[in-house]
Amino acid sequence: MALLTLFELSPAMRRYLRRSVWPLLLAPVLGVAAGWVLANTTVEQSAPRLAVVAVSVALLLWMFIDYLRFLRECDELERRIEILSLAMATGLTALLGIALILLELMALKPLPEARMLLADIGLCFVVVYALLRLGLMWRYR
Amino acid sequence: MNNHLRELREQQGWSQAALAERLDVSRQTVNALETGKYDPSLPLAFRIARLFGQSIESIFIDEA
Repeated sequence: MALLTLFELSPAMRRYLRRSVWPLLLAPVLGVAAGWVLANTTVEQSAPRLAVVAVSVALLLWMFIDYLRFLRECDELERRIEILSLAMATGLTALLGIALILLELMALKPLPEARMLLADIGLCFVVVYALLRLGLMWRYR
Repeated sequence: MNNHLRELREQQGWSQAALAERLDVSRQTVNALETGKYDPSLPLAFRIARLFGQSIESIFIDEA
């Protein structure tokens, strides 16, 4: 029963998840489109590649604005949990990024290729954020 | 910080969810307040005091 309360969604979170359905559905479509553009265009044909970057940034901005709206709508305890989780996940992810760059600067370990680096940093952020959020929800359950 | 929130809520016959709705917070927040795991902000403390028609210091007990 105590575990169930961890997954109890607040009204603000339910509204946020409903709003996030469209951008989350569009993300894999954009991923497929980006793959197609990469496979079917050359570096000289920069317009479609720039379009993929612009649409990706616009999609992230859309999700970011939705998230800010959620932060405004949620109650003070949920906001505290969110901000603590975000701050710690951001700090730990920045530490990982700086450590990787320092290893590269000291010529100890080359940086992974851009795609892998983005995946590593994104995964680190999401995992740390999710674990911290669950931990804090458990604390205040 | 301890408080009399649970007693006051039970006197009114409200569930945690009902109190949460009246205060415009989540049920988790009401539970965290009642168990003393979370201290409310001043605006929320005022809302609670107004809802029960009492002063803040009669609901929340300063242990310092």
